[in-house]
Amino acid sequence: MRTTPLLRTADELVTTYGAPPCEPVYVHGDVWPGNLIWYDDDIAALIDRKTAGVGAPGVDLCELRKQVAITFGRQAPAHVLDGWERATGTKAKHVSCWDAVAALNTPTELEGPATSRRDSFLREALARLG
Amino acid sequence: MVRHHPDLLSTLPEIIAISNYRTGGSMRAGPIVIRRSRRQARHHKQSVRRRSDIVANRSFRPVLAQRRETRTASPPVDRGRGRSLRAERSARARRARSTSLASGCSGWSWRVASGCGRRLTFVMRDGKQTYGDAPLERLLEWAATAVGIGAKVVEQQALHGDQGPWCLSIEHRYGMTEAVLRAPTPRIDASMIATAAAALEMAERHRLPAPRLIAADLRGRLRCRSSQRPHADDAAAANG
Repeated sequence: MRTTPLLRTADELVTTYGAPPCEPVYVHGDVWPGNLIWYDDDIAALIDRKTAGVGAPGVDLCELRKQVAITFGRQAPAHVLDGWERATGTKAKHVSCWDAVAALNTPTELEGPATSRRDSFLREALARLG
Repeated sequence: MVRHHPDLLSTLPEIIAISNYRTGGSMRAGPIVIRRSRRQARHHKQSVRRRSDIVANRSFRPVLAQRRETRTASPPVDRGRGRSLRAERSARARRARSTSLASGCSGWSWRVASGCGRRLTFVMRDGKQTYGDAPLERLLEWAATAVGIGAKVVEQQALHGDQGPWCLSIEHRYGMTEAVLRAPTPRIDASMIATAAAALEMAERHRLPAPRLIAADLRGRLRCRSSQRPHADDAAAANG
């Protein structure tokens, strides 16, 4: 599979880091803006659950963070995290790790500016992971 | 933030799922119908208003949801031509079926794998044959009947290029219901359809904001007769 030094480094780091311990939850599996139904300013429903399952909360949270980073730019993921933490009343754990996992769950080359945005999102996650 | 909007959720729900397992094979097929949200429907057809109530939710079984919709007013009759405007609308809808599920599924074929009394099994498989009209009609009939006795699909539209899911307009005694029909496609296999059905049941059980499942047939044991609504027990049995 074609890859890049950044993706290879991230893959090695995530593999080394391992899956963070967490309480498994119901996950949607494909949270992106296209699967959200809005009602005024709220998300009224998530649709398209063909890849739902059980896993870490970070799977959905960070997939959406990655998606908005690619779509809207580097400021957007912070809003997702803030909203998630306010809604759940808890502080998200292992965000950097799941960010990296989400970023790795993309094709090597994306269309337009998406590749550079994905890479920027991934670099920030790796920097936080150390 | 995800918040519950009871009014909206009452219009969101509903999926019809059919998965058909090929005997001894790995290919499974199955459509799912998801009703569109009021907002979506409003965009699609301003005149449609609807409400629905979930009337059954059994643990990890296909769910039948029954809706009560705003009864449509009796259509004015164009006496000059001797038939109602409603009939004309239906005729237009039938003509609109030219963009049919069959065309959306080119490259796939349906065949009746077995028939046992009133029970039919539909199997979707790769093939060069085109849809047979009868199985397609049976499939749509099943989906429509799950929405209401005497209901029928009057229009379908592919929502992903020429592939599924498909938006169905289902006409029934209380008016028109729009729904999304999901079926395996080259990019979505039957296991995903089954996963979606299970996930929707889980979401409903925990009152998560998601479409609601109307009915599912995960083994292709369709019972689709125009005079008979698919029964929850049949669907449950089909799911084992």
